[in-house]
Amino acid sequence: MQKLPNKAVGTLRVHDVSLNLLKANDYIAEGIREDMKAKNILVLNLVSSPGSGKTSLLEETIKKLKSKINIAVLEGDLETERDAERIRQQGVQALQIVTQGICHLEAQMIQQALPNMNFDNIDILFIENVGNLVCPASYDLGEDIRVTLVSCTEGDDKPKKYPSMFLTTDIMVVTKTDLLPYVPFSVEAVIKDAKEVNSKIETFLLSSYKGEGMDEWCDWLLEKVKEKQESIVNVEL
Amino acid sequence: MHELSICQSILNTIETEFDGKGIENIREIHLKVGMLACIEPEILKNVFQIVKVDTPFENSELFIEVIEVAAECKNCGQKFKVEKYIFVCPSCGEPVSNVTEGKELLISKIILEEPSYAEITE
Repeated sequence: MQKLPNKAVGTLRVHDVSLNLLKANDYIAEGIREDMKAKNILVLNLVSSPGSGKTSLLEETIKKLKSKINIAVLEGDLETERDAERIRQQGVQALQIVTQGICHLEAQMIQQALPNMNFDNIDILFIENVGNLVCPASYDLGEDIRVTLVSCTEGDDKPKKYPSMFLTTDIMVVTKTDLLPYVPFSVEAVIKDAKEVNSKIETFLLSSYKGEGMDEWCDWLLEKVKEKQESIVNVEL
Repeated sequence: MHELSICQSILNTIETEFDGKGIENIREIHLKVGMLACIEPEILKNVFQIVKVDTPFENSELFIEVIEVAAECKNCGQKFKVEKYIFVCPSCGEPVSNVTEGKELLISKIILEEPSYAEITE
């Protein structure tokens, strides 16, 4: 009988699978969403390039709304506690997530941070993502609404350059509108491009520094808080 | 920059799927990566080369199929490739929200080399 060679090639076996690489993140995010729903809290995920004015927008929003609703903030940054300190100076609860070089927040980081916060009577949780228009697009954090900021100093070409972000965004906020007279930024063009990527995007124009457009933004936030709380009451009934 | 996170997720996902067994027999891992997944295939492959060292994945290679963006119009049913990120139906001009392809980030196929009969009985 012929002996088989010792180093015969093994049999190749093919496994056809469909394993989503973000499944673990999405699963945790869904858990956060359920948890926040049970606590009656509206969650917003704020994303933008670095320096678009996420923290400034939060500071001014808190000033206008803190007498009406209770706000908590989760801050994501590669390094430093600076943003959380800025928010705390407004008299609201803020927790800093330092990602130590990771360019985005993941649902797991939020899940780990939440037990360190006090959510009694909180109406809104803002999550300020790491300044980056690429990676945060892929990571659901369990938010109800994703808000993308575009400052008019960075240019009106952002929606087409970062389509994944705008495709997953509910609200686009054009910031620093007080500088519009000095920069070649077309509000019309940015809205047109954003709508081509995602026809459902709603837009706000505002200046945190000068205050224009802040009332519309804050009224909209109050409306969303009310909608969320009413929807939960309706489910309970 | 999040290629490293995704790479780690590849290893974790396969370890879970195979219950940690026979991973050293894996030769090929095939991914489908949509254009909207924000992943650069070459960077992901390079990261994988580094991450797999001294793990049971050392004998495996990564193969990446890039999937272009496609959508289907809810209004007229037209299926089309989305060019230049204009999510508007070329036939009827309706804005589209249901992207059918291009968001993928998944493992589609795993090829293992199982030891031959000769090796087992040796």
